[in-house]
Amino acid sequence: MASSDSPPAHRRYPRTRPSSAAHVALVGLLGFGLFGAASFLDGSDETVVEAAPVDDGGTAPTTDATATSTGSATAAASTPDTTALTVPKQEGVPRVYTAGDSTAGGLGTLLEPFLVEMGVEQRLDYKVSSGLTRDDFYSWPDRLREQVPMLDPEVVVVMFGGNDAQPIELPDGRKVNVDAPEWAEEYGRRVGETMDYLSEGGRAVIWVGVTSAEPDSFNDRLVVLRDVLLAQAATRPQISFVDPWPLFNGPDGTFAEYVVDDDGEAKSMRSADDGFHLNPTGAERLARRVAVEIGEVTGKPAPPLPENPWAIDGASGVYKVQPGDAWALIARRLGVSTEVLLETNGVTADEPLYVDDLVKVPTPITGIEVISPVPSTSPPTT
Amino acid sequence: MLYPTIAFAGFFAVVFVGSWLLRPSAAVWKLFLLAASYVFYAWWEPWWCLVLLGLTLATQVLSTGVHRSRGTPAARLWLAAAVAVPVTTLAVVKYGPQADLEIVTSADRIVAVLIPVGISYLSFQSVLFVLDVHRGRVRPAKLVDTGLFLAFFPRLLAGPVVRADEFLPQLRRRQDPRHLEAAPAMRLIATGLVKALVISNYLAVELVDPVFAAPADHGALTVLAASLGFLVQLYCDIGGYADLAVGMALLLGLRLRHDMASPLVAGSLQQFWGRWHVTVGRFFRESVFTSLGGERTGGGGAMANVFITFVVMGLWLGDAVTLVLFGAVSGALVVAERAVLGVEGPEGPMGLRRVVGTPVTLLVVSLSFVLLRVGSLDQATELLGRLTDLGGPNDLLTPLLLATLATVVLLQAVPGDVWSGVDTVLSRTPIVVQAVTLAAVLYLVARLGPAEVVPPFQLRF
Repeated sequence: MASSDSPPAHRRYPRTRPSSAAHVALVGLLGFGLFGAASFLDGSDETVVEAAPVDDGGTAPTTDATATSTGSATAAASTPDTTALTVPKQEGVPRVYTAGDSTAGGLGTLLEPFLVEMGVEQRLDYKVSSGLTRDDFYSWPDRLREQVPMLDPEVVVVMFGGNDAQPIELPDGRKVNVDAPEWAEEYGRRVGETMDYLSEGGRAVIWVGVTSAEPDSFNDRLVVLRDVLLAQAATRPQISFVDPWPLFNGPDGTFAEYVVDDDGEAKSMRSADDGFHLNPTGAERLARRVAVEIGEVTGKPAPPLPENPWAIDGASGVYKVQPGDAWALIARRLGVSTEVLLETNGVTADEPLYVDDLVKVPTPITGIEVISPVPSTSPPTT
Repeated sequence: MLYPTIAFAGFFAVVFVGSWLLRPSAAVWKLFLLAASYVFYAWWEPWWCLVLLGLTLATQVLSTGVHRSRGTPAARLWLAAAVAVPVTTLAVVKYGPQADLEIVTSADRIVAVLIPVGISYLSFQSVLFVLDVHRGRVRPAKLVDTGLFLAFFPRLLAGPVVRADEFLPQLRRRQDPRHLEAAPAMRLIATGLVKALVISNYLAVELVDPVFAAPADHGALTVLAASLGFLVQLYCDIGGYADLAVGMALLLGLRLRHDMASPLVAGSLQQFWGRWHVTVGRFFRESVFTSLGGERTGGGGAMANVFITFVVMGLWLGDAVTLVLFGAVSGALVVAERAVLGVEGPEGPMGLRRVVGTPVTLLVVSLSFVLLRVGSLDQATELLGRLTDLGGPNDLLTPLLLATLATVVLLQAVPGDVWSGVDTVLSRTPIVVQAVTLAAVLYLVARLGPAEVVPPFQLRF
């Protein structure tokens, strides 16, 4: 928009009438007064109340998201009005409070349509790059203690971990790496404390773990983190722990970009650039399961998992061939060796591939925990 | 507190009243504004006030020294010191101790570069001021004036970079509290809020962020739209905050130069860079380009100077390869345009060259600005590589989104006269109508904007 800091040289319009400072003050007072009244009357808790304080590390954008704790447009993000003590709930509509890092954001976003269908309300509160390890960047304990009493949810869904597999500061001020025993102790303490706080008063808590990652160094740290989470959840029967780890691995229990979805078709579940984040398809798969848990707790039944007609003939599902695919590429995507893939399909490496062909995905190696979709009883319809 | 927040509005109301009550006494009024500016800065982080104070004192000493030594051999030394001081401050603050923070998460990286906010602009003002004194354009000022020149809070966080000869004389002029340019000020504040809070956030959340995070999920058209979308988002951030700064200053009776002069409808690259982030571009032109010899070194030399200036700008943006490359690529493109189309006159390209040049310029600039947004060269090549996939999904491109992009671009083609006309109409409406309009804009922004105000993109620098 053009600047207006000088009047036009030739005036074709009558001159702008200047106002006095008192006039401006009056307009300002009236204007803000009206705005305040309007906001109060419509009970909006989405007013621009305060800036994101910079010494929390700010909410300046990273390369992957500017939308920090506001969530996406589909989820009912909220910063409760500081004048209200609680955020009002609708009669008979249970409230879910979903909190965590960017992975929680993905989960919450894909959870929303399921919850809408179930008649459950969601408040999504995620912060990119956050977690329990770096409370100097963003303190989740503080945030939860602020939000949970205000929202008073029936269910809390929590997902951290992606940003937590890094050096942690112990109470005595020392920083230790993930492979140190003190790390597991300290992180476990923080997780346990958070679990205890959230489940106070019998509130239902669904704690979602982490997925595996492609880079080995990162994955090794995530393994440690996952063990801590499993241990903390194991001693707390009131916490429902949803473990995404086996849900998104290939037949050998390690990272795979393409995983067989609940409908039997192998799909890309991971985000293209980082070998860790789930893309919307993956997030939806996870959301489906979390919705089932929420359904059990709230008594509002979740949509059933789709049927998988493809778990037959020694396969756990199928992969649809895309343009440019080769056996080795498909094998890498599925997280299996080329030999195993060829063997499962009963072919040799020079077998031609055509677009839209269905390739069988090998079943999980026995003893490895991978969650395959449940085979259905009805025959496949091609 | 960031500008577009309720807390700041309260602060501004107090300053507004105080400023006009104290205006009759120039000295007291200046001290009041200076104190208010320091209070504002301290709200973020008290130790930054020390940095600001130190910079003010250094600027004062250096400008006086440069002025007194003009014509003597000592002038060179003073000049070198003058340039070195703010540059060192900038370097220390951007690349100093916090640069050694273990950058494990991207959060660390953000914290490291966000401290302290806007110090780039302060350094620029200091350097420009001293250079202007050396070139005889302005005389050194009283300490209070220099202090206010650097600390003036409407432009403290996000610019614009103010020229001493534009600002200091205003401090000595008498202002009549009965003659405020309220209408343009209110209009600018309204458009600033809408741009910075509503449009910028909308584009980021609905288009730019999803596409840049996962380019493989989107088709060529979406990627192209996202590149343009990022340019528009950045324009709305910088331009929106510039609107707010100019508007607030007008309410206090002072004029600042706006940072954006309809860049999105520029007819050529040279014209674009003359209209985008005007005051920062002016800084680089006056400090780097002119010092290298500017246009005076003739044909090839001038082109080299242009290129070097752009690379320096890239270095200012940060030490990431993508940022320096952005500078180099932009510089190379401008040099190429100069070589092919010649140096442009002040009116820019005319006629057919303008009609064809405008969309081409927009396209070229959108694609080059991708380098500012990505986290790595790999991401950039991946994103640009997606431009060949014409069959990919384009479901992000809703009619509302496309309309938003088109509107922001096309509104820039509206001549300034029309905006003056709007101001005139606005100024002649009764108080109640003005108040209702203000309330409506605030309400709209509150409903459509983000629930929590995030710092704009350019505060990373």
